[in-house]
Amino acid sequence: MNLEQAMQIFLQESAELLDDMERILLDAEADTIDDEQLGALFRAMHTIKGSAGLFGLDDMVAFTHQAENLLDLLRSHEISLNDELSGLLLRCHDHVKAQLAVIAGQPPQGSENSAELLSEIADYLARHHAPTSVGDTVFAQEHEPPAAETGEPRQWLLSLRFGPDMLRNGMDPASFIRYLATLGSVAQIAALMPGLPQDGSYDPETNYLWLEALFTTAVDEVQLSEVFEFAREDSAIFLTPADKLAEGCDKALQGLDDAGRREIIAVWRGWGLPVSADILCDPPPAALAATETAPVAATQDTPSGEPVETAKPQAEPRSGIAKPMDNKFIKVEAGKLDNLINLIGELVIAGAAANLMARRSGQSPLVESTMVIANLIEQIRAETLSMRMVQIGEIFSRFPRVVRDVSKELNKQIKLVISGAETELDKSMVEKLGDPLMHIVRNAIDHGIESLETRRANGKPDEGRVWLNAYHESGSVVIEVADDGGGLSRERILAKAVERGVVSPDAMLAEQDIYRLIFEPGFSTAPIVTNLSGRGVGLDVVKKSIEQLRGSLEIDTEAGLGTTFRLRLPLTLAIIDGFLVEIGRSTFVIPLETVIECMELPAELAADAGKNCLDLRGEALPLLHLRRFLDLPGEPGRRRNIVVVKSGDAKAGLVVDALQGEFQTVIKPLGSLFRHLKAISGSTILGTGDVALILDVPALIQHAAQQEAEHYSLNRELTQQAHRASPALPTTTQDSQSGNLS
Amino acid sequence: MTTTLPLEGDLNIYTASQLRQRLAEALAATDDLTLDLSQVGEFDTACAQVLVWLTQEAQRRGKTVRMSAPSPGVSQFVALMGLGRLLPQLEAAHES
Repeated sequence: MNLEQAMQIFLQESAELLDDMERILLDAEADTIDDEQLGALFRAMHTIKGSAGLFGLDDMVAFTHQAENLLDLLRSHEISLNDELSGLLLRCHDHVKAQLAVIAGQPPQGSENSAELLSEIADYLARHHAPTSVGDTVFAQEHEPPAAETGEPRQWLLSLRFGPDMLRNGMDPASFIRYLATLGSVAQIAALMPGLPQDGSYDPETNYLWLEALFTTAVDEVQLSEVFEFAREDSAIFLTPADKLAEGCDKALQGLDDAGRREIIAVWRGWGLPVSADILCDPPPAALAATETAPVAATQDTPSGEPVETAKPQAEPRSGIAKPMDNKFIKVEAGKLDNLINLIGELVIAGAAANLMARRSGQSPLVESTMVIANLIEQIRAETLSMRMVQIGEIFSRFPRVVRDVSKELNKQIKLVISGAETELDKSMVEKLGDPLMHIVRNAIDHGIESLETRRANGKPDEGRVWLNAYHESGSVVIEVADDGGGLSRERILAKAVERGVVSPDAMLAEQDIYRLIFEPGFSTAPIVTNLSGRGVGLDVVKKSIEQLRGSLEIDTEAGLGTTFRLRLPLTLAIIDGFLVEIGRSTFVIPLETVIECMELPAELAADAGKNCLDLRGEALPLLHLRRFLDLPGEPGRRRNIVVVKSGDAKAGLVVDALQGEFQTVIKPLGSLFRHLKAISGSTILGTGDVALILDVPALIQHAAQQEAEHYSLNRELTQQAHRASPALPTTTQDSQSGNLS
Repeated sequence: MTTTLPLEGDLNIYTASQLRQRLAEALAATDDLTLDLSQVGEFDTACAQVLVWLTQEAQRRGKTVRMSAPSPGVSQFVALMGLGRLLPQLEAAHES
């Protein structure tokens, strides 16, 4: 077996178990805990202990063993869960997690000393549990291997019918035997492969190995069966105490076919086990004493084959073995999915090229078949992207702990309310969202929620609330972090900004713009609403990371009532549905999800270049002439179009020459040379091989709105400045020749 | 015709399919196949199965397969797992 891989599985499974454990402990603090949860807590430690044993991680076995004992008492209601105990258990959780991290090769963190924690467990039990049983079960053997359990050594007949998928699942039967050897001694062992196909159907990766063994150990049945915990799913494991061979043998033989039975019985006989001719074991226990000397003589006397055949009608295949693996999930390496998505990106481009060629050739059957292919590619693309989608709950789930810890630290009572955890978004985004969200939540607790005294003075409930919410909205994911704290104070932010020279004292700023100032670097450590000395929370870092994800940040706040941070993020980073527009000889892509409608530019507006606003069904729609804005050469065409786009609540009309329709767009990042460009978010390759730039709609809308505002403030000078500052276009599109798609 | 096939390196679940292929081809080409196991490193259940399969396959075809000089890794595995019944040649070699 490849140990490395098995270790990875162990680490991952342990991490999942620990997450469960943490979640249950945190839930339980608020509500009462039920038996099922107590069982789950116990199993977490218990399973980790079991697999740690398989890998010979003695320290971890020793520690988890004690934690398991504690949880066992909890499970049997001999002690009950309270704040102190769940705090202790959380620390045990942390400790195991830290140990696992070290095993995974991460540098050791300043984690707790395992001996200290163990003595605390002992101490807790001494105080809360009748000392009689505690003394010996819990801290009798601090660092001894689990073999040292009390009890007389006993002999067992182990019949291990490992399942066919064992090897594929990264387990080797040998690892169980190696682990067994640490618990006792294997007197006899025999490998059998009755199921090994006699024809060409032999599959080298399927397990055919069964083991029969005589094993002497002092551990009890429960612990012995724990050894095989991992094999239990698709294997049939029979543990028969040597003094109960009568029933055990019978059970162990049930459901086997004749060949298998015959082979196993031959092995048992070979060891001198009292296997009678009529298959059902004869149970004189005394016979077992002679086991080691293995008398063989008797076996030849009875034709072992025959009785087997007559003994029982063909039983159905053992449920334990034949059970199909009905797992609902397959773990796939993230890198493989990334490769697949890259390939599909290329496929989308190649498909578009083929489609274009077909259309140029004018052969309609060819065009039709490329359309079918295009449709299939579209479906594959959607399915593949959805494979990468994970529920945002994955990051939300770590917040209860954070909130609990931070609120204890700051001595505030806070309840975290999570909703929309099932909202899905791209896995790569989820990973990158963790830190920014953490910043915002900490900020909400630290600066948002007021101190207990202030809350009481303002007639608010003692317990502050923080909400985490997520939902989908027009092609993007919105994540909200809200608190019912003091809200942001406009005046103080403004004063601070002026003091730090971020804005000039006479600047007129919109409400949103003022709140946005807290994301400026200068504000990072400033206590904004309260004077609590919190840790420096770099909101500027948050803003930067959200922008890297092509997302935006909004703040809603009301003095005295609370603040909401709203993050708006695209669903995925790899491919978008684009809408192609043409300006002069260049083609641009507008993300389709931002497009609301298209219309022709009314003649009266076309004539008046100075007018930048359109009356759209009674609503003023700011217009942005892309040709002028992007400084493209050439004269505007006679007929022009408006694409109405939306980002958040803001709308604008983009004036373009021609509309070319929808196009699946694989986003290629722009080189670092173009990073500073505000109006362009990326590029893509068209079917013709031409490069098209993807327009950054939120930035364009912002610019249009600003231009509009400046127009009405009659501040011409500023307008001109803004125009001069408009980004120059990278040369690629201007160089693109020929091949208009229209 | 006698052929000796040296097996080298780690024989495990990752190489099991390859090993089976190789042994099947070798068995097809000769009536008397000898496997030299002295250079085998890691050895696991999957590859033990391949050897058992080879033994049985040879029997079915009336051919001879010998396994010689098992490396410590192979011997230990055979002893650990009680594979002596299925691979008697390896057990004998181990005991001698």
